[in-house]
Amino acid sequence: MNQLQLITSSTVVTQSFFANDYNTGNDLIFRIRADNEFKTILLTSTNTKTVRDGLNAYFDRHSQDIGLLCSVIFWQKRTIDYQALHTAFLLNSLSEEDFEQEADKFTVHQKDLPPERIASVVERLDSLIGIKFDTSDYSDYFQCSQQNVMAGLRLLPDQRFAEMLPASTESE
Amino acid sequence: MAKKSSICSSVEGEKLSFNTRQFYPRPPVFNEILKKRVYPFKLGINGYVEIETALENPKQTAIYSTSLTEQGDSVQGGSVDGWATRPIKTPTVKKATGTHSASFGSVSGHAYAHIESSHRDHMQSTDIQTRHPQVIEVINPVYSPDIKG
Repeated sequence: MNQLQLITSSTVVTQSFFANDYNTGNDLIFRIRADNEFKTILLTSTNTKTVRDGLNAYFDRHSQDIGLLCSVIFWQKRTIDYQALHTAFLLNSLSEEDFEQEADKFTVHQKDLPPERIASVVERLDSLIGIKFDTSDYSDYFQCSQQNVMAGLRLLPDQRFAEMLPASTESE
Repeated sequence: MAKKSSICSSVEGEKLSFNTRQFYPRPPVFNEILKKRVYPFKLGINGYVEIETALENPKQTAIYSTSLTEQGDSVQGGSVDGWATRPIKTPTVKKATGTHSASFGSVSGHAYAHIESSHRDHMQSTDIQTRHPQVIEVINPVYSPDIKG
């Protein structure tokens, strides 16, 4: 590991530093940057709270994204499981009666979601994975009606989403 | 016989026949209007759905007032979704055009199909535009000269 060596004799912490109210009595994080070209060390400080808040915001944002991506994985897993069941029915491994009984476990009652929530999730998912979904895909993902999905899509400014709506509501 | 291909056009019937190049079954949903479970599906890479058997008394029984309900009415889109109250049986793969096969099947009970993306997708395909420069409204099964048996 490299050891930090003093390469300049100039004052590292200046008196003006302490004269600044921002720095006194605060919890600070210091950053040391060595500049080989000018043979100097630059010491900068940041309020710890500022750094902590920034990291927390970063963490929160990514936690939400991870939650969103996990929800897509669960959605796809459920779809795969159902399609395997349906395939078994198509291959006559299951009678229609047995299939209906098993399919009952997958049956959902659609919810009525706030269009704003649909819009924000659709927009974020689109920016994260960039796969083009249809309204029925979103309806299956959100477990809500397609009308509910379209109410959410109408709130999105991007033309790609407007194109998924019936002609009368397109912003053409 | 009405034929539509604009987004949100729909058909409802007792038996709908379809052809498509991509068939997806979807997990069932409880339909609050019919008060019963329905089996959703999606047809991708163009889907064509035609009413083979109309609903009995469609003015009273169709869910959506905008749905086409007469025998022979049809819709086609780049992507079509729908549902049926009876479990969806195996589609059969047959030659559909000179170059492509397609899945042919039917859904029954009370069945519904709805266009979710129209020819806009279709028209954006330069390949299809080249082969069918005259494409207008419903083109399937009027891929006419290409249709085999």
